[in-house]
Amino acid sequence: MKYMKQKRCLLAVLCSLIIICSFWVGIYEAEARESAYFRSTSISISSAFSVTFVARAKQNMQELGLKSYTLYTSTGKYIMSASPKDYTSGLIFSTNIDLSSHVEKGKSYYIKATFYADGETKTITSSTKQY
Amino acid sequence: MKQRTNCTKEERIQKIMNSALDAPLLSAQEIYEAMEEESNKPPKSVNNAFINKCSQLLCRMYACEVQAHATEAEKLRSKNQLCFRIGSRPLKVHFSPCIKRIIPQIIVATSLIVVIGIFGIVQVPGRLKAKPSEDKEQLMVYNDCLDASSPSLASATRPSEFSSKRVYSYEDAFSELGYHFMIPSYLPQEVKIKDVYIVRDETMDQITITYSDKNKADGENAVLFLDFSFINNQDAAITIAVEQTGNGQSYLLPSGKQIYVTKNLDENLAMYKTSQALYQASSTYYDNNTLIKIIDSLGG
Repeated sequence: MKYMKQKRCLLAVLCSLIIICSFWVGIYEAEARESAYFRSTSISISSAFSVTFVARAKQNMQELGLKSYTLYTSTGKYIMSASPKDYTSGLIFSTNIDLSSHVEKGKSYYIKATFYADGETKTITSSTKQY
Repeated sequence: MKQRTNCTKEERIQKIMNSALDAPLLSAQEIYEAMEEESNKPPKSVNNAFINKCSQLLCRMYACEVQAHATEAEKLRSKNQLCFRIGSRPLKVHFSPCIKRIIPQIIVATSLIVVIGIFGIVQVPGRLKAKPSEDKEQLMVYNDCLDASSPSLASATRPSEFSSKRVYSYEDAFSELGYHFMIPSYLPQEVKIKDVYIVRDETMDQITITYSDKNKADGENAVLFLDFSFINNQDAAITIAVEQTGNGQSYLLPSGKQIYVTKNLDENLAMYKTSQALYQASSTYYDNNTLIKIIDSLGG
């Protein structure tokens, strides 16, 4: 009788933890979708591997910009990354970075960039570009 | 345990000799004292039968006491164990008494730490979003969707290097770009152009026209955005991610324009693609019907 009660108690604790964890995962998933601050973001890679990053915000931001970016080969091999944390205030951010010194002729690459707007981040992955 | 009895030496010897092994009439202390007294006598006068009886009684009493202690210890042990049942087999886990006492506190503390941890992470957006998951709801537009092989408006007088500039009228934007882009013939009456932001590089021109409400006190705030992207270079990798909540819907307008309409939280968005360009109208002030009318009036 006594350990039946203990068993119930433990089951209740386990169930609570599972519910809380599911809630957490749900929030995490939901949070990563639509955006409170961003309207759109873009990455354009030129044939010379000069890369333009643009972020557009819904309203005036105190800090809007490029938090970090990572260059990968088309097979997913890591090449390099940088965290410029290049922020500006306003509605639009744009910057251009020359990555030609990190790439080899004939190989294909893609970029994963994380943009930042007053505490919110958005990550996008570019399409693949051959150098 | 038996209490000490007040009896004479003879009575004591008598009681010991009459005692059954499992029911001694005297206490262990008294039996021991009597046995010692007897063994201190000169060897010839020692009553060996009495000594034997004393030792048998003491052995038996000691064994019972050991058993009693063992039973007591077992009771204590079972008090300090938690039973779980895995399938039909009970699993007993032993804890020392001090740990058992604090098990409820451990459970409460662990739950609190988990809850605080969860809320700590959820409440601090930076921390949560420091490791973003793949955003399945972004609407991705690539330059191959826009058929960059078509002759582009943006291909004319363009610099090969990256530049960004803010101008304050359509005319200044046309002059800056070196070509005319489609502008809407319909706009809500109360809006006025605030500025035009142009980002150019070898791959494309990205133009953002911001409108504010001239009747509102906070007239400088943006109420409507038109974002145009003109692809210039087919040999480029262009990726535009448009934020949206869930998936939107496509509408074919009487003018023949296929428009995609969606939402990004409080923001409404209408989008139109041609072979060379992407046109977007977005606003937190105006509904989708207004945005569709604006997009439909482009070039009209």
